[in-house]
Amino acid sequence: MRLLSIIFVCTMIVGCSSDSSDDLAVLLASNPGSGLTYSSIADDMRECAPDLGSSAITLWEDGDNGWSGHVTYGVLKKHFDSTSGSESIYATVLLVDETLSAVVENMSLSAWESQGEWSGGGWDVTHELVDGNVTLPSIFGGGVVSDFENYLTISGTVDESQYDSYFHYKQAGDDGIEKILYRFENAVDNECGAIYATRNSSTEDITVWIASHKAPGAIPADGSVHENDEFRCLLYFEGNIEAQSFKFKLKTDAATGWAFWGGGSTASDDDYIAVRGTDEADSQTYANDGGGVTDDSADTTYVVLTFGDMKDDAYDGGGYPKNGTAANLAAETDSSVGYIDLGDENCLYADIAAVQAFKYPEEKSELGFADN
Amino acid sequence: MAFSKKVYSLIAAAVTAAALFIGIYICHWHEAEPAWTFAFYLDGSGNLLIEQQRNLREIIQGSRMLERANVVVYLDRGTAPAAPMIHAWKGKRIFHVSGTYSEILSHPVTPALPLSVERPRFTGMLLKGLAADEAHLFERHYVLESGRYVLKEKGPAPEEEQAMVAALQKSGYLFSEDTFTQTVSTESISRFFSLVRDNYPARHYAFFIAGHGVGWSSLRSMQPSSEKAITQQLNKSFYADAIKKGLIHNEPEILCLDLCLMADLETLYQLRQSAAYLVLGQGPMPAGGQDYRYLFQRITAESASRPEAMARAIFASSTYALDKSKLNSAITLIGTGPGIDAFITGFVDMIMAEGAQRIAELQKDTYTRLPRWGGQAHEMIDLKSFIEAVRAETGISGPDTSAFVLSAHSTSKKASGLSIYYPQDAKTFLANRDEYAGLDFNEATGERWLEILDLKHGRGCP
Repeated sequence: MRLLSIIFVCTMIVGCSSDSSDDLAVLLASNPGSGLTYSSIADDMRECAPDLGSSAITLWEDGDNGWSGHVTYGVLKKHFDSTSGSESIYATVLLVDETLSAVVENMSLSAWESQGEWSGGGWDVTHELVDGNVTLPSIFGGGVVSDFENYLTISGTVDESQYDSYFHYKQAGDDGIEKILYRFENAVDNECGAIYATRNSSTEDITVWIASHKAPGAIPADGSVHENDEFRCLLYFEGNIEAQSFKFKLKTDAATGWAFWGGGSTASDDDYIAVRGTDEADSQTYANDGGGVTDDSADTTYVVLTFGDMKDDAYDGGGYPKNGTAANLAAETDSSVGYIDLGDENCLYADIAAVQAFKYPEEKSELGFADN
Repeated sequence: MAFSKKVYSLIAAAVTAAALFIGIYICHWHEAEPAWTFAFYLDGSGNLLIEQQRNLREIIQGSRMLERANVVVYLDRGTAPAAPMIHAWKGKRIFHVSGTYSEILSHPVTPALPLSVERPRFTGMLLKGLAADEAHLFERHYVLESGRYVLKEKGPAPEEEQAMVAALQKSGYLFSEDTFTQTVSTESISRFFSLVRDNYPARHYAFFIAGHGVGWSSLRSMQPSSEKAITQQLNKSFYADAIKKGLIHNEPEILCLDLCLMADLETLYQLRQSAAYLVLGQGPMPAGGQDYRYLFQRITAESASRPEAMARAIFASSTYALDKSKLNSAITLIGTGPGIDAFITGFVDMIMAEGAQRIAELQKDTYTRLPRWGGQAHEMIDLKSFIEAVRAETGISGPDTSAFVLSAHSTSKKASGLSIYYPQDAKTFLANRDEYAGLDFNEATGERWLEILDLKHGRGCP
């Protein structure tokens, strides 16, 4: 069984000979920490999905098609590389991992088990033990979670910007399901984000909702020129750590609306991954209506390839990308095509209406923050 | 018993007692000195910031059970974009890992007079670049003890100390808040590892460098990151010569480069005197280097070990991280002994026996070209495939890498552990040729390999 993500580590000092007693004293004095550790959500996602990230891959040269796994700004590289910046599916989660692990590891066991306030390492933290319903941000569907146990507010100045974070947590108890709701806001950079993640220690399933909103004010009018440095994104990810399989769907305000979905397995280099999308997902920039996506047409293109192909510069694309027509999809022989075939049990979209209904957050309020 | 026998017996007893005393003293002295110092040089100034912050945390967590060892970390956060961190800062900071995460981050190491300096480093580095009166101050306040110049217990007066620190900052020996230095630079590398050796001495040293890497070529060292629409960051990559020069007088027993594209013949030859053991990656490495918590599990188990056993533990940790990352790449453990020179001799003999012209004309498809992993990877071929191709074509047995490759681990069909430069494109070759001609490897081979590259790209014999 997978270990609980936040675990209480009992530091065990093994027997030492008498002449090392001085070292032992130093060890105890220097390690009085609670032993709380935090298990990365991004790592779990990367157990399931590809991470093409490396210190060299950022230097990959331009190829001749935008889907190529080795193209600098290619679709696959953009989304499946930890170092690709905001457009990586791991970007927001990495930020959250960073904060949570630092905060949790600086909490004492007693602070974790009781309510109160404490400051440390530049963060001001309040901790409440919660018992009641918590409504998820509307961008995540606004459902109610009734079994959160801990609620922390975390405030601090980071790189001259004020960060305020709000963290609900449920340990993997008897039901084996751990739940994390984390929202953060950096008012100076007009940036906020939210994550709702669950991990099931019995089934090894993880689900992650991620929403990002970086903009100083209201969304520009439909058809406006794209604003530099603004970024809005909604991502839903499902994975199974044991099977090393995943599926996802995302929508951003990049280009004329960026829609991208698919899934597959990274268990071996021979396992298949299928992804489909378009950079003209909306009827016009900022329309966020999915009006550019249709089924059975050339409006979307897709790629089916093995995990090994995705990492192989010599892979010639195998005839992909192909248009997302019903005939093309029906002709695919590998079952991974189900991840991109609307209505298939493996596809996160039942139909074209579901694609169009999956919208990035237009306002901060959808993440639970007051609009500017 | 005769009187003379009594005297001899007493003298013998005294000598035995003295020997025992000295033995015990030496034994205690060795026990007091840490067996190892582990130093980590982390570049987070580009797009690896979050990964490097995580590495720092892993190092702090992982090293908690380590005994009789020093752990020191350098982390450059660059301009520190939105990457939340406790005790956030911009630029570089150095931490001595001792205490909790919060305690460590709130007490960075500040530039100060070295506690003790090894004799060759004192004369060959520290005093170099100082004016005569400044050097005199150091000679007055440091005393030579067991091969190290030690800061006298009754240290300099405050104004003298201030002047001495200022002199070292001016000469570039110490970090200075007033002077910006790129992390990927000889100067910064040298300063950090000098600080480590001066203030955290041990019987053995293992140094780790994590960031971007591009092998022997400095030309590709500065590249923009991949972000196009959202942010644009400049990533600077480590290359062999900067590391080599940064480690002069600071050579550790083990140098582990958690950098991409460093396991090529040219790089390892450039670094052959930089460490007794090198752990190098041939292709892409995991974004943040290795899992440092796991590394410390291996290190802790080997903490009293000799350098080779420790190098093998570090290599095993690197291969663990590669396997976990699912990347296609290879990692190699090199022993930088005379085996490298023996290999170079055999390599040159092979070229001489067959003739550069003939080798240049061999069918290029028989060599395994590295994938487009980035940097100049696709301009490299796998060394083993080259030697095997020449062997198959000519019957010459060729040189053997086993004399210095202690172990290699590959997850790629195209990489067996070491590469060599063999560009396809003449334009690229010409752009790199001058730098290549200046490499130690080129000199060691009597320009034989360069001759092949010249012939291949139609330059004829120089």
